[in-house]
Amino acid sequence: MSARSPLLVLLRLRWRGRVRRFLRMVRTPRGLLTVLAALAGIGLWLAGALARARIMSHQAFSESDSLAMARAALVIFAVVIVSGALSYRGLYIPEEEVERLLSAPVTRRELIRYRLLPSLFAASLFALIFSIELGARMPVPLFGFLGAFLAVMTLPILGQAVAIGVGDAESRLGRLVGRLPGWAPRFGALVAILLLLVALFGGDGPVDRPVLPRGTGPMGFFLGLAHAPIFTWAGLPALPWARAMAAPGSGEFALWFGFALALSVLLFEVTTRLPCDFRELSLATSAQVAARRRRMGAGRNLVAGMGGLGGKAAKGLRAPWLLGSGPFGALAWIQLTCLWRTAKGTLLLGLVTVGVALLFTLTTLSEPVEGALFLALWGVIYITSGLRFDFRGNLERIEIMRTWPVSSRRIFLATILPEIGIVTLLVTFAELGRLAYLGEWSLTLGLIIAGIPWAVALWVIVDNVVFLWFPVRYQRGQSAATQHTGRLLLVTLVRLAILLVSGLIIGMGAAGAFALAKGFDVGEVLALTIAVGVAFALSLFSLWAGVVAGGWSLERFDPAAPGLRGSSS
Amino acid sequence: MSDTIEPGRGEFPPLIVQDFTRRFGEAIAARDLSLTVGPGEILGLVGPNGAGKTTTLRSIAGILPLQEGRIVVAGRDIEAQEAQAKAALAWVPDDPRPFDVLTVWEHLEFTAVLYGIEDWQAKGLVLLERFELTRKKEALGGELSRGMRQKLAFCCAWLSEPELLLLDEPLSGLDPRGIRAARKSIRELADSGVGIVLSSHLLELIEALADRLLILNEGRTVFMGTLEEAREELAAERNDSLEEIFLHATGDDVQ
Repeated sequence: MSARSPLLVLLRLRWRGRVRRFLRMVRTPRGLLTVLAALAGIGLWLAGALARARIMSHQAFSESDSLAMARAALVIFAVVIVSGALSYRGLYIPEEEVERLLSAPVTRRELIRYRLLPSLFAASLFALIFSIELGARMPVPLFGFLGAFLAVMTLPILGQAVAIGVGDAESRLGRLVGRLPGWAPRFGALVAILLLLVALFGGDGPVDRPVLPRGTGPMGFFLGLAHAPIFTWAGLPALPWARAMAAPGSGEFALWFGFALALSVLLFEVTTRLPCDFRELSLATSAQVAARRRRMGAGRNLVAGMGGLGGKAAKGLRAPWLLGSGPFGALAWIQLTCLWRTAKGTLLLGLVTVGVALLFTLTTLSEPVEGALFLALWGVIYITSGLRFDFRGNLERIEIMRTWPVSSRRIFLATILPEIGIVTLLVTFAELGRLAYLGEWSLTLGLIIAGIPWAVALWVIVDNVVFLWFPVRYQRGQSAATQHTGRLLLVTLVRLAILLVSGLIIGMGAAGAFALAKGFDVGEVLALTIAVGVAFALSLFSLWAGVVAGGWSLERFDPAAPGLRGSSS
Repeated sequence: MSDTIEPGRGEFPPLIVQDFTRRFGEAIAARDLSLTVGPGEILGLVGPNGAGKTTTLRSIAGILPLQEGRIVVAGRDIEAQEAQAKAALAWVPDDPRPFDVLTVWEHLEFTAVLYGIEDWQAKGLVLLERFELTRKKEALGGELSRGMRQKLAFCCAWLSEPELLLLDEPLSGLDPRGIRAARKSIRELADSGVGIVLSSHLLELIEALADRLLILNEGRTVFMGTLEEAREELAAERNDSLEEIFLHATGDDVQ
């Protein structure tokens, strides 16, 4: 775009507008607090990355390992970016801009540039962190950093080129993908996963070797993966960037970096000049993304948003009345039905994520308790952040809910119970699967598993109580991202603190009961039973207190609060 | 988008549509549509829901790629000279969406740059005054009500000095004063030589403003001509209102 390009003027005006809105926000104490929290979080993140980089620089990879790691990392990122780009076919233009920009007297080349520049800016923070982390393990950290930064900044361009190119090819081929039967993409994905697994772990190794490649040291697992043939072959196009990252000397770095930079610039220019008419695809993508965002705003996450809602299969699924046929059971049934019918994608993703976490704990966390704790925490935090079948999903309905002839406490509990149940089931099964694989069992592990329902319930309760006091939802692409990040950070900290303090109180109560029982000279088993009983009672009490707080928060919830009505957030 | 000699303002009709057909998969949204809008003419576009009105307007605006036929805006072919053709038209959709973080005034600034309007500020102030947005000059797009968004879209369209103005349900969301201002402005713009295509379900508005009428049904042209011609051709009685003519033409007057 030339300096006088209207789209460049638009970019400038939009940035000015965002700064102005940001400044308006930080004028309020609450806004300032959340922004400070977000900045502190980002600062800590950066500082952590720098500190890790400093430590890791003493444990640099060998030259061949560096190249393999760089190549594998770029392949993985490229796959993630490209697969993401496929769901944004054509040039994605936000719904509010698409009609205006497509009818504006600007060339399609200018439009692509207009969309690419903010994408590159948005990618720069991630590129910074990633480059610091990965660069530190390269033979020359500075070269590693520069090479990685250039590579990561090139990926959004690649993604855009793929989105436009594939979309156009699909249109030209008579929408071949759309004509395939519904099961074909799933079958294709399954075959791809199987092929990937064969490529990663198959081969001519001994039959009784470990399922996963294990190297020595904490990075051994990843190094084993990085040397897999699939990354060697798939990483060929990424070689100039990988070579620049892993360059041991300035001469080699200058050569490969210059080459990679030229390729990146060339890719940018080629992408903006792709001879494709993406207007129709852009309109369709824009509408799809808007619908997805609206669904996310209605309380479902991205994966749930991507799935079709109200399809024949979804409508046919009927959730059971698990909690009786009274008003309480009806409330829980509604929630379970919504969750069951619309969050299959989220549940599947949750399952996959827990599976990956399980794999991670099996291969890298050798301590049984350490692994169990990690799995429980990861499962609880990740899945509850994805499932939003609580008061977030019912924000527009809270006004009606308060007119229902059921006490606020019961409404509160019934609304969150299905989510708690589902998350508990997922995490508990993962823990049991882990125990079954390891064949180890101990009292501590049993206590961790027994504590999962409590941890999930308390986590969700605190989240919802806080939400009822500060009912703000955030959708990706919405403005005020810094403030929302800060709020998220604060709520997570509050939840962790409450979980920790409650756990500590329960633990101390149980320990006290055990000591007291022993003082009365009862047997070990009885003392232990009493301690477990006390822990159970205290856990129930903490949950009851949470539900009371939730009911009270629901009672005082003001649906007419400023900024709530008519807000999409 | 080839470089060609720019036609002078008013040298060509603001809009010529020839044999325009638009498909969405198997469905045909518009078929064999041909029309011309002369300088200063207001063409009223009416039809039931799904008749193809918005599709036609979006194709003329260059939002949808042209599949069949030819669309020429002020002498510029919308496919061959896309940017030049778009520079000569203004499009006001039924639900305008301003940029959330830009102020009303910045929307005008951007529009002026986009359409190459020099010394736009004075005209911008007049437009804000006319559409009662002066007090909202510094308000953000995201803070505007439905009606104000519509008014802002008018301001941007008027500021761009188009030769062809495409209006899709332009009065929805406006208060009575806004409606009056909009009607007056549309008329004045037409009087200054701008060709206007006005799509609306408000038949009274069409009746009051349109010089000619295009009735679409299921993508087909049912009638095109003046209101008088419509009465002669389609009406049961000489003094039938446009509503009665419309219902008769679209086959909805059975009951």
